[in-house]
Amino acid sequence: MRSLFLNELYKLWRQRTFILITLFVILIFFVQVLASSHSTYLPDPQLYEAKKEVYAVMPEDVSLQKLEHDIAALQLIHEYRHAKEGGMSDDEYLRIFGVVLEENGFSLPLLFREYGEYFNNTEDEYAALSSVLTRLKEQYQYIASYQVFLDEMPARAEEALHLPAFSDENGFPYRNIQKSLRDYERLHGISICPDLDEGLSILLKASRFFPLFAILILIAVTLLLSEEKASGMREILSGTKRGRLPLGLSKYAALVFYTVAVVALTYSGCILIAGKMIGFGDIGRSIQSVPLFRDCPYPISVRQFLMLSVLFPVLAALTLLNLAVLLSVLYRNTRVSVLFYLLFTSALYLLSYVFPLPAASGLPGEINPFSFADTGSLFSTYKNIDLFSYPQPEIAACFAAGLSFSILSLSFCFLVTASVIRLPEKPASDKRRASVRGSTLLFVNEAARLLFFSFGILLLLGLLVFALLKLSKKPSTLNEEEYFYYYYGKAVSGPVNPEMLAYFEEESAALDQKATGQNGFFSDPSLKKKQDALTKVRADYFLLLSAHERGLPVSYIPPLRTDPVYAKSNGFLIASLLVMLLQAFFLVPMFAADTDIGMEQLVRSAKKGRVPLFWTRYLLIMLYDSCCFLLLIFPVLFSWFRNSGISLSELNAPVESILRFVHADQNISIRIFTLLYAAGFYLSSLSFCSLITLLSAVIKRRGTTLVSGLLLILADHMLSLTKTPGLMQLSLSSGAALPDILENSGSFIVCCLVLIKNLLIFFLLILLHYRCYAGPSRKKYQESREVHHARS
Amino acid sequence: MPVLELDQLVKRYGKNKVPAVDHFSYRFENGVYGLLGPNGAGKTTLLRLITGGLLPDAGTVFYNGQDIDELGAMYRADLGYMPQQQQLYDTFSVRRFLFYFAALKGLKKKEAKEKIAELLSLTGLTKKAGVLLKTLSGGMKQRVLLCAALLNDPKLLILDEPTAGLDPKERMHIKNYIYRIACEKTVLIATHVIPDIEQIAREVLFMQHGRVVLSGRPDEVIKKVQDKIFEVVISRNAYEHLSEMYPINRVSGEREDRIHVRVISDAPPTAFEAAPADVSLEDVYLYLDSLTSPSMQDGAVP
Repeated sequence: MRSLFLNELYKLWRQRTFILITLFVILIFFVQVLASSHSTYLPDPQLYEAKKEVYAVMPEDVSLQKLEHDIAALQLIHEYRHAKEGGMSDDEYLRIFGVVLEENGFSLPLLFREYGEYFNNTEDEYAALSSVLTRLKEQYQYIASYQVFLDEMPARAEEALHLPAFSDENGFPYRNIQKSLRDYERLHGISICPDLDEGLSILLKASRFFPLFAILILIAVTLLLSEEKASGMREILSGTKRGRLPLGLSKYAALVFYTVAVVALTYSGCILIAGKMIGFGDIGRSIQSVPLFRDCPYPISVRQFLMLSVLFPVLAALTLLNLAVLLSVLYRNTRVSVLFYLLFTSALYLLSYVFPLPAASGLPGEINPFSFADTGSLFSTYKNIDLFSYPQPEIAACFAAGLSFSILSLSFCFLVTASVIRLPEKPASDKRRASVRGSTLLFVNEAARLLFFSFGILLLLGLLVFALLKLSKKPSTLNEEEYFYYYYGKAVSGPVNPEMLAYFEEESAALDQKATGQNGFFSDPSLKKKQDALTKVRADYFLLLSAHERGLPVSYIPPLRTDPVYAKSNGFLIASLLVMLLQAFFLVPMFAADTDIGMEQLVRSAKKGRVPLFWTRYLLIMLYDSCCFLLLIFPVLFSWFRNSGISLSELNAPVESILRFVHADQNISIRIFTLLYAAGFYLSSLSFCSLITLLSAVIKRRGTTLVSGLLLILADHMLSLTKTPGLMQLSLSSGAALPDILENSGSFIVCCLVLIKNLLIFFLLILLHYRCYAGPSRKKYQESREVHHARS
Repeated sequence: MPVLELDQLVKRYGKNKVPAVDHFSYRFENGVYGLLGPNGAGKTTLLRLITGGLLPDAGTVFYNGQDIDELGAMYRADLGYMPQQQQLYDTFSVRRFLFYFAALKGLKKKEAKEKIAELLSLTGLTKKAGVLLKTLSGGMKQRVLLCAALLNDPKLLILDEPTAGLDPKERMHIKNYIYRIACEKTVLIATHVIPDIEQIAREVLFMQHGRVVLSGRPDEVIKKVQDKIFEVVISRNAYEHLSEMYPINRVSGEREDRIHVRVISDAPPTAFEAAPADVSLEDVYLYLDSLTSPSMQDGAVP
């Protein structure tokens, strides 16, 4: 058995492309966690730990009061320092802030005595300390609110039970309320303590890539089970002594090993990276200490949650594996089993993620491997399943359903493998098989090769799901700072006019007046945020005025309106990188398969086997890439126009109206530049396709072409991602980085030159490929023959 | 009447290598032509030059008097090629594969449907039409390739080892079909299975080192080695001694401890009781092969 198991593992290992895909999927998870770690704002961890220790020794209510007191003191000291820098005397300061000092129980000497150390803080130290104290205050507020949440639960339940809809003692709502009371009862007395929990938030984001494991499992099952069955190897193997049950069990064990190893490695790796980069705080504290998990009814620690966040995806992946194995046993035809698997898993995924409304999904949306793998959502929401009017916890119901399905499916597979149950050998569709049907259109045949036989349709389906997700996503809500920034931006939006500066003066004066009403002290934090937002908008406006003075009819457009497309992020480049890497998997076989298996001679001897075939394939590849591009870009542009509130007049404003392009030198409208950007992106995408197909014509081996293609795509995108001006413009992916090029060079001509360069490269790649495919030109060929004749 | 003419074809793989095809000239008209020769004689290279899959270093392939390079797709419309090929598009069914080739050959749908049904029936693959190519045996794949070659009703049919892997019944079936269609076509068959072409070939060409060493109608070439094949009846013990001295074609039944051996030799073996034998193409093949074999060059054959 052991040697059989190892041989099955070896079979998987020898599938180099499959191993590459597996590594690529793991890398996606790790990169996601790394990228999120870099973009997450974290208070100074050492300072946070030090301050946490200080407040931890006090009772929680005292800690909260002390924190509020300390924050007020810190703010007053900050104002005092500003007042001193502005040349204000102590008396003047007291005249303005005296009341506030008194309200908070301070006097200036007391402030000096108790918080003297803060007076010498630099601005950065003040910001760090303020951030830490604010965070601690929020956490203590949460701790206080959690206790209230638990204490008030019986009263809330009592109130709900009086409503007619919940009062039927035999109904699900009534029992559900009773159960929730019992569930939360056991949480009284758990230790809730503050700590940094950003690591957990980052970790939970990685779960969105779990569906990739469903694809990996499908490929593994296809390689080990379905392909062998379809190729007839199964019949050869089953004729040997251990070719049935022992071999079947070994195959299953190898698949289980692969699944557990890959999923556990990925999630453990993510935990390690998130732990190293950000940290999870004290992992012994209860999970309810994290505000996201307030509703979690299980008394578990963060450590236990982390362990479960590895275990649950593994169990979910095993359930998917059992589904794939069952379908592979049921259907002799690989394509049928793959199709059913994709249908089932896509439906489950859509039910659990894309349409998560209980009314729409019902039980399948909740009892679902994809929901089960999303440990964050599973533990952060309190949900019971209605099972014959008896509420059952979602986790237990999911687990029981998964276990039952696995036992039943595996038992069935066991019985089939042991020949206890015999499936019909001949499919019922023999008649249909014997009939002669098909198309003689070259394009249709090549399209079938790309989409169905090379599984190119998978990428299109994946991008379609992405598009649906993107389109169904609601506009993100703004936080207070963003809201004020947007509010003032909206107020001054429109053509830039120096007269608008008066507006800033008026608004600033109004805010100052409000502050003066409070003795110049921003005890209302919103007031301070408003002031900051106004200052920021004013600074932006001044920048645009410089463009206006250069004679450009720029408009002020609130940056939040242009950010979906023009924010300083690598989103488009990374999307381009991912899609191109995936496209390479499907496009390489288009040309390389013929040479790799020696079909080239046969194909080229046919009437349309040369030039028509080349152009048909090229047209198909371009169409395929165009579909991928549209599915990638259309939802982004659609969401931009629908959700950001950008108007047509704003789109017609010069591109310099976008703050990052304010130093550009041409009067090009945002609309035109967006079109150019999309064209550049599209051109890059087409060029990469041409590059991949050219490589397949030159290298001829599928595996080598794929690896070289992936490396080239990666290296090229890295050039763009470095944002180094010279390198970025050289890369083929520069079309997807056009805004960065415009920002760096400030010249629209450079952008056009980059596009022209990409266009020339695109045509050059096609020409080179055509030369490789069609051989030397007739003239060159005749010349070489004449030379040869002369030598002879 | 389609005429294929090869004029001084030369093909080298690498600059200073011995040519795989060396100044090969021949004219092919209607009928079946057998191309015989040992492995590495240049048969497949020659066929690839004829199909346009390889470009010659020198020389020209003329089809009906025109350079095939200039004819391009017009030439390939008349061409049917069946290579030595075991790896096909694994995920295609037989039917899809044939429709794919019908598309490559520019057939109309109705025409393709009829032709595919006819060819599947001819090659006994009708019931396998929906089966994936990767599940087929080597012989079945050969039959699929033959169907693909015949789809466009080619005037020039190039077959590289068409009967390899087929059982005797299938071989007979295919052989008869080729003979039936050959009256209006030029069929060029490269093979090691000499009986397949022995009865149907209009002419046979023996190739060695990229050149034709002997060609002509089967009876003509047989005549040329008529006096080189002898049947010797020897004891089993003497066999070892005889085989060291002469190339031996066949050993037949053992009777009373004596065996019948066909010996290839320019003169009758003097040390044994030998009589001239009826010559077959296989004998010719072996005779020509023995002329260049190392043992012959060493002077082992008297």
